[in-house]
Amino acid sequence: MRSDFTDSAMAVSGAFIRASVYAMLALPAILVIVSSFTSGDTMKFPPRGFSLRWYQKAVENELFMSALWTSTYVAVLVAIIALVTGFAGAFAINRFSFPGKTFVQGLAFSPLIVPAVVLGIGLLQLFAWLDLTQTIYPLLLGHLVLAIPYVVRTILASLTLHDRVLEEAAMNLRATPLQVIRRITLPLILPGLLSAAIFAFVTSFGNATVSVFLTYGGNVTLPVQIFAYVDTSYDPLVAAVSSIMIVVTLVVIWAIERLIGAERVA
Amino acid sequence: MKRRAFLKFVAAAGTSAVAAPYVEAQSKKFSGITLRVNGFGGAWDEALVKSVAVPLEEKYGLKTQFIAGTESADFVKLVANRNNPPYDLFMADSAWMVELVKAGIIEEIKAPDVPNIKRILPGFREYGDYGVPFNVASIIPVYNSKYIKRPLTSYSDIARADLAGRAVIPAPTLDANSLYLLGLAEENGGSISDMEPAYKLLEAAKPNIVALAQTTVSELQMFQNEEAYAGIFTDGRAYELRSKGAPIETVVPSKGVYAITSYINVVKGMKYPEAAYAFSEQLLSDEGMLGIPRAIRYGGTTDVRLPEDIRKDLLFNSPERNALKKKIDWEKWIADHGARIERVNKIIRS
Repeated sequence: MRSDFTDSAMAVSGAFIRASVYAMLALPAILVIVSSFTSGDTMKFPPRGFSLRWYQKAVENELFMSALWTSTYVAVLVAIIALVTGFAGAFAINRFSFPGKTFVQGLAFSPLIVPAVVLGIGLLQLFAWLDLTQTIYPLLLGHLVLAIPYVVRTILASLTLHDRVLEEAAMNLRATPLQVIRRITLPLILPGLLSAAIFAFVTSFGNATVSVFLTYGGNVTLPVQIFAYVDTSYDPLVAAVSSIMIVVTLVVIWAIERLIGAERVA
Repeated sequence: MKRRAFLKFVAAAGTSAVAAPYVEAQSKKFSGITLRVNGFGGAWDEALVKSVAVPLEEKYGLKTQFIAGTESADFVKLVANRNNPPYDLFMADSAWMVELVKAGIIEEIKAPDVPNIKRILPGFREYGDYGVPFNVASIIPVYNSKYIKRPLTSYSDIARADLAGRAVIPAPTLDANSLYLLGLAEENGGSISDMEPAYKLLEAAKPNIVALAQTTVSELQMFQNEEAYAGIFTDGRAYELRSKGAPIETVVPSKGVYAITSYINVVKGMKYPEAAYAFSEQLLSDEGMLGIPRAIRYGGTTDVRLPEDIRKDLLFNSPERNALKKKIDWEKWIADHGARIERVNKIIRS
């Protein structure tokens, strides 16, 4: 009886904590989205009236739209490159023993412990020395450095958890190592790859701290554009642009899931 | 056609024919050139596009690209890329001008190159021939007249007992916005070299202070949401609140106003100095000078005649008001940055 009560109390408090955590995670985005539909001139919650005029302004704003495009293609490139390099790194760490393995593993996770500002300034200095600051490479590399730890960690977990018996069976049937990776390993860890790609995309798409130092030739990312905008203006246009950014992120996540289809292999 | 009319016609046609190539050449003088300028973002850049970039393109075919970012990051980018600068023109406020001059990455701009420099008001160009000042933002006391019935009149009024738990001041990390500390010092017998009176007053104001605002946006929100009734803010942002219906009044302290100036600089090693001078000239013209005041009510720096609807909202709007602008030793102010932060934090957090 006593234990029943304790179980119920634990279940209720667990549900409450879960609900609170989810609410805290989602509320800022919800508030921004709701505020963006205001018909007034100030960003306030609850909003005054309902209007789509700030969305119209956002879509007509060339600076924000070109920044959205820059952010999107950089994030897509980062997701693809991070997935390839991250998979290679994670595979090597998971499957092979080699001198300095611990060091390589530490190196793959090290960007997480370096403050983003320091990373941004460091990369800026490096690429200035290489005379490449007016190209996309600094921004791409900066975002890759930030994304790779998440990608490696996610893929490493998938590689560790999946059953290797199937790989061994394929090898017994004379499949080449490449065939095993392509036809057995990759399909088995597809949900992990999917998560890693999403992590990489989101990390790149939302980054402002590193991007602010590495934007090139007038190509500014959306978070930097928003950051600069609020420094001199604070109106619901920012909320509308931020909402578009949230929608783009959700659409990309949805599209990746639909195209690659985690449930297909589940 | 009579003889006289015929001669007039011929003369006009001849003059037009001779002048046309010259006018055409002038209109295409900078065609194919794009000036890259670090942007401050939002309404600021929009105002400069309208009042400077668009007229320049119409007149000379000169294009301007504003690249949004933060002033600090843009400065770091400029220093890191001395040999291949990412900007041709660099916008910086008074505080960053110290660093730009020290770093040796900007050129001097002289009146023969930019004749409108002669129109700059006395005391508004703080760095000799470096930089062209084009806008000024004042750091002043403000209050919500719905809740504060007795108007504030000075920086020191921030310590008034009726503001208990309702005042917000900028964080000391922001060099420009924390100029009010200098106001507190000088209003109470101190100086930039003797800030003790300011700290003493801040000690007295401590019960009033609900927050040290790290950004102007957070401060704006506090006023908008009526979490704060009084504080220190910029005149332009106070106007923004007022224009959106918040009853925020700005104060003009009679002992002097502390303001920060925005400059345009020609970056060393940029390829088109003539185009940069044309940009500066347009910026200081009547049309260029009124762009930002019209949009966001930060003040101008020249003798431009202010239209009444703008004049009434600007702080520096007459010779008497202009005379209130305090001279600031920016180098000393920047040098004391660390000590100031430490002291203010100690007072507020003790």
